[in-house]
Amino acid sequence: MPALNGARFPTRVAIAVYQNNARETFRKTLAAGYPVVARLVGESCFRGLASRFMRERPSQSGDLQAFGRDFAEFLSSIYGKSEYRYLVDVARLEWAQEEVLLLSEATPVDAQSVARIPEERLESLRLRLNPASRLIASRFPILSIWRVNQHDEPEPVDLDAGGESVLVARQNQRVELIALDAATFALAVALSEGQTIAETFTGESLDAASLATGLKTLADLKLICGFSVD
Amino acid sequence: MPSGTSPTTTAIPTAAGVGLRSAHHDFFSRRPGAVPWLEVHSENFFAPDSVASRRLEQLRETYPLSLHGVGLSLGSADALNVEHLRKLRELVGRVRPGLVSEHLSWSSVDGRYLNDLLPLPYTEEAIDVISDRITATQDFLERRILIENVSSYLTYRSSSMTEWEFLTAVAERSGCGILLDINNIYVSATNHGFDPREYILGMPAHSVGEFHLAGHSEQLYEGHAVLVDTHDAPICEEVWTLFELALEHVGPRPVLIEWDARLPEAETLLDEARKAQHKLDAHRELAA
Repeated sequence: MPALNGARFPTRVAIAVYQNNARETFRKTLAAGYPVVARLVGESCFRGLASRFMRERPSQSGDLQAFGRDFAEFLSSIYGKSEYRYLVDVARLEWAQEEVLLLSEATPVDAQSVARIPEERLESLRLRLNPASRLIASRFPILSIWRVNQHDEPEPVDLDAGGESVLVARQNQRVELIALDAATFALAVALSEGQTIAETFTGESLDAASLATGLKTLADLKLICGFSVD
Repeated sequence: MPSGTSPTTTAIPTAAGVGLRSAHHDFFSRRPGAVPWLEVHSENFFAPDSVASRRLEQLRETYPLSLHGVGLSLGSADALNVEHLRKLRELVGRVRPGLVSEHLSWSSVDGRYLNDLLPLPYTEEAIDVISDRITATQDFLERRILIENVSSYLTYRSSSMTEWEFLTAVAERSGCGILLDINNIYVSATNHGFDPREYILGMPAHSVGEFHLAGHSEQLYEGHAVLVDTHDAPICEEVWTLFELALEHVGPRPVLIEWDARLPEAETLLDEARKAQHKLDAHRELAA
């Protein structure tokens, strides 16, 4: 195509500039949101993933912060059945950190106030958890993977070491990642719906003592930001 | 409203300010008054409870703020993105900025976004499209906005006027102000082969509400040298000279140092701001 209007270069060069700008912008945005995934797959592979993601899931907002929300799902479509499927859960862990930065925090209740609830009233207890929190579980050691990749020379992590459940929470404008045991994680997930204990565990027989212990753990984690006893 | 939020709008002073990047947040937070004002990208603060918004509201207590949007896509033939507008209005309510600006560009078709700033064809039809959307935006926000000229790498055969004639017509039709980016004029002029001084002298002085100054880089595509608006370098001599011409023709206005990538220490931005302030002051003395 000929140059137009006194331009110093042909139109196809101009279009190449815009294409390159677009690829760079989307790649940088994804790399900023998923730095550990980017490290794990390496620069060349990540560049390819970003290009493909850009084509398959085009940006639908003028706000770039929305771009990349579906990256874990996209990775699942590529690696979900492969030996690299741990990448999907690492991506979910990274997105959870981005998410909680945007959400509204709430002040945690004093753990003692939860401990003082009489065991016979626990059935009617309803919790409000910190809205700026996410619970991410994986069959892979995703928190260990994330942690070692905060350093320049990450130590190897055994993928068969077992699953990890993680609380991603923001308090005082800082994001923390905390490993939870399976029971605490399950309790937090169950109670995050905001139903009473009785409604949450309908049909199950509850051990009040272990429930009280579980609640104390959640309160110590500063995850409980309000409660009511119906 | 969170406590500490200023309930009044603070005007942007006719002085040199800098674009705030998150890496420099602590620097400006610890040195209130380090610069006379700050400008931020609106979209980064759309979530009202985010850490970013909390920090911005803190800075707002000591700095006049200008909101510069990149994602509204005013030049698009698509209907305005109401969701985006609502978030912008909500943000304006929270931080009471002295200035609100967007771009003379488009970035969306049928709901698909490019997140870049594409130039418009300079036609009567395009004047209608973008002026309508600017008017609707100003009505929605209940304030005047500034529209910034962008760097471009291509032009359209269908254009029937120059970019500066187009921008002047849009400002006249919609009543918006102009945010004159001197670096973008220089980049586009070099890429398209027009005289940047003609662009500056073609600006209606009363419409210009702000200046931007930034750096750019030269990139090679198939052996062709293209100036690209990278905002990652000091302002070049030619742009400083054009800025002086703009001060002569338009008069003193708030001027912003924009540096988005390959960020230097904050002090380097302050050096550029001081240089711009010096030229503003020198112009005032001459004009007095």
